[in-house]
Amino acid sequence: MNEPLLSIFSFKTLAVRGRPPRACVAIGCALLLLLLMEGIVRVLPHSITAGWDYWSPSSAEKFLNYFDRLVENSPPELLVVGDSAAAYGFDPKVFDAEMPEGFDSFNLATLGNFPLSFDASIRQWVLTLSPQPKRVMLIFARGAFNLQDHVRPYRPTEQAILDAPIMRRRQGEVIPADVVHLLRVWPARERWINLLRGRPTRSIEAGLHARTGSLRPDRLTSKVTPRKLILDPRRFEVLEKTLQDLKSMELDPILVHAPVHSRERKKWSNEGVYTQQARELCQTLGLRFWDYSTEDYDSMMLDQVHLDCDGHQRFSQTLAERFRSENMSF
Amino acid sequence: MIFNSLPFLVFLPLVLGVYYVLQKRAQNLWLLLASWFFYAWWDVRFLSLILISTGVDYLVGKGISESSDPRRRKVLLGVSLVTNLSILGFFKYYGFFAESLLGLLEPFHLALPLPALQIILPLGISFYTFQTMAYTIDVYRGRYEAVRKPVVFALYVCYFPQLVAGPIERAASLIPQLEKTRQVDWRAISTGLLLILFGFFKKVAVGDVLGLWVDPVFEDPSAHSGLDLWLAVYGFALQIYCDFSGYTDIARGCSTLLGIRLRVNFEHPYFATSITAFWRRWHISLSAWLRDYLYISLGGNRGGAWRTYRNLMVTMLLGGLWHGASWNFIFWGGLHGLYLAVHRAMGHNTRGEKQKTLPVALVTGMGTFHLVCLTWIFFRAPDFASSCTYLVGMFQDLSRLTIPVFDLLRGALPLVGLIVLDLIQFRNKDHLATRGKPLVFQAIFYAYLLMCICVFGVLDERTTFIYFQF
Repeated sequence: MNEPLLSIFSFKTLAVRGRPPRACVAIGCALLLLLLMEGIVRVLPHSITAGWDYWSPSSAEKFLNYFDRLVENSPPELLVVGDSAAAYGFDPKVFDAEMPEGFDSFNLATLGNFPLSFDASIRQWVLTLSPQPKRVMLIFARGAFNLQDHVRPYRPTEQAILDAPIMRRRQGEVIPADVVHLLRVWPARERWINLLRGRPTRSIEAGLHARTGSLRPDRLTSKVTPRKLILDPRRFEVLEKTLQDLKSMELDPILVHAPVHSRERKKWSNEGVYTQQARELCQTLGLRFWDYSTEDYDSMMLDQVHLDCDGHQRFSQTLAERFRSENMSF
Repeated sequence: MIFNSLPFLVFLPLVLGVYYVLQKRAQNLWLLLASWFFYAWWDVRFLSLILISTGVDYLVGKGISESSDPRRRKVLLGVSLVTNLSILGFFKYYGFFAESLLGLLEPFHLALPLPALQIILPLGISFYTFQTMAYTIDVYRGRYEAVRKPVVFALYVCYFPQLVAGPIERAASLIPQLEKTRQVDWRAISTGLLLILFGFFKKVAVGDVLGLWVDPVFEDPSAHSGLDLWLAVYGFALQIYCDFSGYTDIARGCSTLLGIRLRVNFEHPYFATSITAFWRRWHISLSAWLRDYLYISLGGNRGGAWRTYRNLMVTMLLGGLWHGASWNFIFWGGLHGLYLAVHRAMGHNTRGEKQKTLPVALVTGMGTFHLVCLTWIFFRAPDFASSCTYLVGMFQDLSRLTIPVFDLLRGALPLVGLIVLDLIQFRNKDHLATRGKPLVFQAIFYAYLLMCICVFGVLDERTTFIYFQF
């Protein structure tokens, strides 16, 4: 049949007649097999693939455990948030044992969660969820407020957290793993391994990142060249906003400066700049600021800023003593 | 727009759907609009550069074809070359040459008033510039008749599957296909789909996964052990191969679905048993371009041994510079030029490749692979000093591995699929040799490739193709 001259349409390009070749059938079968695998992943227990979208499996475990507590309507009395100084430094079990019976604390601090990502993950999200804890304690190392990325790059870590699927989804972005569950298999690898070994798929119960080991001797002998610590105003602003928010929510926040190795103190020529500004901020807001940065924890450090197993026990006991001595009620 | 992005997964079916119901002329117009849209998705401003290149070369080609005056033809060719090379030179090399010149004059306390410009490199500029230049030179040499239809010529310049990273197509190969009526049958569909599958597998499940641990090592070699550095060189060799040949496979697959065949750009280069053979298998469209329009124009091998070595060196140095404005790329090209000259001086050529016994082929193949790996260090390292640090570091602290084992494992599992795929293709001398295998094998193998993409792959739109920067 003749086509009209002016027609721009023609149906002759696609010439698919007869049976499709073997390769096309094979591709079809492969897609069906893939769908089958996707189906298997979807019917697996929730504990395996839940948490796939956080920035690290350990963060996922903490967040999921904390969310479970909220769902059960049993928020902790004390919620600890912060960066790795808190994640490695605060042991809820040791702390709770030192407090009146039945006391319950939870360590939600995660590795690398410095102020810029803390702002999105904790201040604007977790702390707005209800039910709320009775009190919040913020523990940071001063390095988290450092402006100079060439001294230690904090920005990439913060960006990685902000780019994590969970954060992107919170901003309304649809990511492939929202649709295809197979994409969650690799990020949840540690849970798979635990399951295959017959271990619990969640290993962090109360939120402590316990780490064994000791400070490497070469880190004690290398030369320290003092640098000037320049505080990042944007990161400090996050701290200020968080404390203000918590105060307005009547959660009576406490800001804690975690212990550091004496070599870390020598690293900065203006050593007390963060302590001074943090103290002034807390005084202005009428909040507590506890400074442990000058206390001697040298023999209990894993590295210059993180406590080892002995260190987190002692630090948690010290914090509990402080709570008792200041007669802090819950 | 990049192939491994969600917008492209919407764009391609839409383009195909409309394309299949249009008649030939409307198809070309539709493809042209789609190609411009594809390019403008990245940055609409740089579309003007393609339009300038297209307009100049269309008119120059027509002018050369219509003129019998040798002087006029030469002038027109000059106009085309100057226009294209000026655009390329300004956007790609201005910063490098300005910086190098100021650095050279610094000891003499001479300062040139060269403005410091932060110039964005337009995507694919090296590819489409070389393609349009090839067309004009071919028309000038009388090898190809100038194109009369502006739509066809514009489509030749910016045909979206190969616009930003090749293969660099010749007018004689692509334009006739754009002028004739296309048909897409079952075979073309299976070819297209398989090439797209292989391409995505190479790019997403192997190349990008290797990049997860290779990139940090190259960024800071001094923070890694010698063992890490060795692994990262091998990793990068595979990463760049999978990234670039994966792109080519996707480009060829998409084009096949449109009924247009693009040339093969990679023929298992790491199976080459000599450096000359390597360059006949790696980025074939660029090495053929350099051979036809540079090496032969310089005199090729016609002026005696030393002239041949000089021509090889110049060609490879400029080939290095084509990749980017940096001393690292020039050194990379220079090393390859040296290898080729030495190989030639030893009296070897690719004809002996097939006659090698398996043990000899294995030894020479490994040797060639390691020579190529050495050049990759200069190609990948951020600057020359880092390359030297990297080389020294490779022979220190060989007992410690700091690359996370899980990262290595994530790359290793898809690598098994890549080795199987490459071996099947290489043994059968056919990129689609898996089609000849039993249905069950094919189904399981393709499912494995798809599963590797989903489970191990890096499905992040922010990971672009390495060759986009060139």
